[in-house]
Amino acid sequence: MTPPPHAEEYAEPLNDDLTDPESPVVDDGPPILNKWSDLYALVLACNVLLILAFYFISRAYAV
Amino acid sequence: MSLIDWLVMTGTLALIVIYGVRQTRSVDNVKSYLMGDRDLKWWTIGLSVMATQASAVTFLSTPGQAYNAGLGFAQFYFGLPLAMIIICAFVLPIYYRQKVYTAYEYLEGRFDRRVRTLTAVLFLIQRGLAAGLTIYAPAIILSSILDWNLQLTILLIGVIVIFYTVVGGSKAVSVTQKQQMIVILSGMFVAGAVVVHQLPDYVGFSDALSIAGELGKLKIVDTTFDLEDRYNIWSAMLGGTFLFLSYFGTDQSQVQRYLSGKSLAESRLGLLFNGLFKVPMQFLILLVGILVFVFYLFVPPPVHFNAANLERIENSARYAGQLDELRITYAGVNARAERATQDLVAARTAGDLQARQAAGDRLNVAIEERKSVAAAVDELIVREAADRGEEVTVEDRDYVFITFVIEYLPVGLVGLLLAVIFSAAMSSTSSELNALATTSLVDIYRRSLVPDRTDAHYLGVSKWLTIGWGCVALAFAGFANLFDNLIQAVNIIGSLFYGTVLGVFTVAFFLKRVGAGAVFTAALVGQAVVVSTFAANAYGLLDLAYLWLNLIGCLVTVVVAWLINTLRAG
Repeated sequence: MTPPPHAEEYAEPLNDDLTDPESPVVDDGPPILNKWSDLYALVLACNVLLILAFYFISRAYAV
Repeated sequence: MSLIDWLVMTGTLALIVIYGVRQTRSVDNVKSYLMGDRDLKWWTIGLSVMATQASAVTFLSTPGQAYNAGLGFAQFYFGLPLAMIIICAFVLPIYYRQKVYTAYEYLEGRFDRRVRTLTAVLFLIQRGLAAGLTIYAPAIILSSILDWNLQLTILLIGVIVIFYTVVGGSKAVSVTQKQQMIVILSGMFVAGAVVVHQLPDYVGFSDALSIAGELGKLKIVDTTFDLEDRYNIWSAMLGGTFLFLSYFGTDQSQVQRYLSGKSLAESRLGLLFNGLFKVPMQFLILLVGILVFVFYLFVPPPVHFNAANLERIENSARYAGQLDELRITYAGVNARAERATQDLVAARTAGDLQARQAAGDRLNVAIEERKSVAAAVDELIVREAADRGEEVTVEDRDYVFITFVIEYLPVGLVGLLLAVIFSAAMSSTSSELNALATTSLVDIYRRSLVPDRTDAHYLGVSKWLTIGWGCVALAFAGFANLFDNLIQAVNIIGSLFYGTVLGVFTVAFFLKRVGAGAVFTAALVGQAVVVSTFAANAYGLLDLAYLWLNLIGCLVTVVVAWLINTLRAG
């Protein structure tokens, strides 16, 4: 079977490097944030913490 | 409404529009007009994406949702951050690599022109109707509460949006959305602070939360697994993620916002900004609704929040007397609720757990009685309408917050909050008009109907298309009251097409060996199955909520495309 003409292009590895010159987070970012995946993890972690905070606050005010 | 409120409202809106138009004076080519020179910073993209999603109904309806059912609605957005990350990691790089104007343009590169045109047309039908609703829904509520002329309210919102969207294009949409979001967030924050200030002196913010908690209004995370319940943690994480992936990943009104970024990194950061702040923003809006609920424990609320419905009963010779009796009962119930609330606060202050429990029980009973009286009034409203041979909606959730704003906010703030609602209506409508014009021009007009013309020609056509779609939206909004249930009608139309489009994009992104012929046939099969299912439902052969049509369309398209491809390969 012949793959579609653009299939290879879509299979290219994605650039995960935050130190890309076009990135605005390049200069003073903390050293742990040197990849996009680190930033994704940070956003997810913030949301998980937020949901947990909501959960415990609502429990604290419930009877 | 006072003169000061008028000045605050019109002044705020005028400043935003003037700023937007001044910032976009240099727009003189079609790329700049449709993509805003692709020079936007991440914070503008983030605010623009948030403003596009948050329509006026969000700010009118969400506090009312919390007033009725508590904070649980916030769970609906828990899947959004994950969707943002998936789009940043997998979808955005593909759009950037292809340098596309629209999401559907990408499909031609991945498949062929047929697939691109099919999905673009499906988007235009769905979003063209939705734009009318985005204008109509707040206009009907504002005109009812403020006693404004409905058609003039629709015209006011529509003409302003069409003006600055036509003049400044995509960049005007983004820069005005940034200002509009600042007004919206400040307005909601101030509204929350004013509600707390309006509570009796002995009731603080913590007391208000405690009262709401006593009534189960603060239950924000529901871990019960129930497929029929939209608002629990499981449906939010599964269904919500799926929904937001399709909305942010394939709907041009959103795709166009983040493709206006200066770089891939700016666009990614803009979407992550949305992923970080969307849940807190929804929480803030819901919290305002909770505080309004507590406020109405100390001040008697209307027996029904839609004043137009009540007025018809008051003027009815047959039902006015029954309404008066219900109002007397309602006043007694409210007095009991207020006393129980006062006792609850006193017991909490004294640390008396037993008294707190007893007061909480009395308050819960009073609230249930209050709901019963309100239901009896709803019944009167339905019966009075039936006598006139009409159907009427008794859901008054959308009127709760605006009623509070008009009756209890100080002069000046009423104007600010009305500016919030108008800003929200205009921000989402402008994105829709801009996306409709872009898709019409790029995917249909320039690609298939009139190719190879000058940039100036396409720029002119883009502006006329924006005006045209604005008129379609205004016409639909103007005649929307002819439909018995407008919101449901538009949602059904959306559900008829959205699943198939999502299925096509899913195949494009994740089934890399499937080609154009397979996916086009699969999309037609998927659409046929959706329409058949809808028809079977309409004729009573099935009993299926229309939201399931989204999933059916998507699954059928993906599975059939994969099957055709596999059979051909075999």
